[in-house]
Amino acid sequence: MKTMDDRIESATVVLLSKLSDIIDSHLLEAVDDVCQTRLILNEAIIKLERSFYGIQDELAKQHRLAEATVNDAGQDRLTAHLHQAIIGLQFHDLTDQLLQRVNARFDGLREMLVVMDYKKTMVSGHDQAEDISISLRKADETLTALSVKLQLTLSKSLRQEHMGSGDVELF
Amino acid sequence: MKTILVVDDSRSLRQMVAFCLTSAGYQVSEAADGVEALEITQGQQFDLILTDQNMPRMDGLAFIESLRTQTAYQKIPILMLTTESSDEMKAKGRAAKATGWLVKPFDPEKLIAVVKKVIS
Repeated sequence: MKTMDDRIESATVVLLSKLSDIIDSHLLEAVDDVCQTRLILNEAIIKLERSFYGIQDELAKQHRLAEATVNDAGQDRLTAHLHQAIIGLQFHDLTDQLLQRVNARFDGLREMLVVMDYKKTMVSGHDQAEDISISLRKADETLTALSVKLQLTLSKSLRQEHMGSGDVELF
Repeated sequence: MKTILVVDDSRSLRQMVAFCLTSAGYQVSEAADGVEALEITQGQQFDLILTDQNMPRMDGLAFIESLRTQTAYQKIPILMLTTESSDEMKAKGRAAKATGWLVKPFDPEKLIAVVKKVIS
């Protein structure tokens, strides 16, 4: 007959392994979604850029052909729109960096989940009650170390929350 | 014609910077990271370098530090164009002997104005 400690250990092993598997499968799906988002964004920006530069080229040609008919105010308005479009198109660079960070964080979390899988990290050579206690303590230490490492690797550098142009500073 | 090297791992960003600078009358070359940029600068002299910070293989600060050891590039203006906006990073840029710091997204008008100012 199983003792209470045996039953707790058995349940903990099952729970930690199952939890690790479930979270890992969802994180894997999330990684796939982010990769797919990056692909779509990348293709969208290539199409947008192609159209944008095409329009700009056509406008420049028409402007040269009918220079006398395009007034300065009209040209200024075109330039202003052009500049705003260039600022706006930079969303791709910013969002791509953020998506890469999200994926790197998912990878880090999946690495941590391996530690939580008791079946894979179980310490042997002790009696059963001691085993689980040692393994959990070791898992806790490893998780803390991995979390710190991940945080250091992914220290937040991109703080932009809008698409207004950034500061300029000459040293 | 003044020549500018644009270093950024984002193809779209490089293209936009190149478009603005070419429209303003500059000749532009591109590199995808610090390593490629160093290779290009070995064989060609530029009047200005515009570099990103976070790039694979070699980041912007390491690139500037390495470039500044070359006699030909000790006085050439180098501008950082990056998403990084912290004072700590700017201080590192100053220590690496960058000429200035521009935070993305960039405004084409401001970019051209700064380039004109430092390149002259």
